[in-house]
Amino acid sequence: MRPAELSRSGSDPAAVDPAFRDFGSIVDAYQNRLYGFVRRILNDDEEALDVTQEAFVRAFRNLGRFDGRCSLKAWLFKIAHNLCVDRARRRKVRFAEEPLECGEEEQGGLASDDRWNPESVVLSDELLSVVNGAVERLSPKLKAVLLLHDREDMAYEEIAHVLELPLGTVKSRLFAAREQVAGAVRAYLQEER
Amino acid sequence: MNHRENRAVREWVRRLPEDEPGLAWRASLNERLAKEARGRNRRAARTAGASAALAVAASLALWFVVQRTGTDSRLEAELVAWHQSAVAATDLSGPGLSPIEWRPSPAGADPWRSVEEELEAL
Repeated sequence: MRPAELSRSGSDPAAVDPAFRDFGSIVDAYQNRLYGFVRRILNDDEEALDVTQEAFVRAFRNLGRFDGRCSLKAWLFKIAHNLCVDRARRRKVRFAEEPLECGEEEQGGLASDDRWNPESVVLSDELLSVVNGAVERLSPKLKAVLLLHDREDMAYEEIAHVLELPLGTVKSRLFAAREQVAGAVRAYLQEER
Repeated sequence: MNHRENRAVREWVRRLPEDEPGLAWRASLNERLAKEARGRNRRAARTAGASAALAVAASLALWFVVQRTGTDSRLEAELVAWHQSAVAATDLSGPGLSPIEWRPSPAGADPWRSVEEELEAL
């Protein structure tokens, strides 16, 4: 049910509060992306649904405090990420660094595989599940940077703002995250040969 | 990792399937947002009510001050009138002997003569 539909159902704040109506379009635009991000960070569908909802409610409550110093998208992801950190703390899961598993360094033969060519990326279901699995296995810290940069197209500076990290840390985490995903794909391609 | 691998990983991550939270989730979110909006409206109404009450109280206080100032001005007028009459009385009688009226006592005169005697001497 969308907020616009809610306005037809009697005592509805949408009829009184235009902020409620406008916020509906913000939810429309970001709900899938925010939920996808939170789900991958927490590795828990139910908790991700709850955290995403809480993130939107908090954003709505504090919309007046949004000062435009960052994009609305970055602001929403920052709220969601902070909630993820809180949940992880409650579950006593550490947002810890994991040792890099760079995989085999036999890049020569594997890199010549056509699937490494981003212009002609053919993602088979199997390769997709390998990538998905590799992303899921990343530590939340690496995962957050990888998803914000490669999936949400955020700039380094924006990610640094969202995650409250120095720019150098963002770059090194992105490198480490990509390295781990590439390592998983390398292993998969080697097995396939 | 070379540039090609970097771009490939980026492309793969971008192409991962999108997640959708579902309609039930959205309905529940709308309910929570509606509740939040109602709470916000109630808070706004309460603030407006408090402001109005404060304004009425301030008006009443001002009215009382004006009223009291009126009483004070009557009292002030009385005080001024009393002061003016007192000054007029002093003007007529004078506070004591003026320098013209005063003459030094003759030599050898008793400095302790009464005021009546001095007045008679005048």
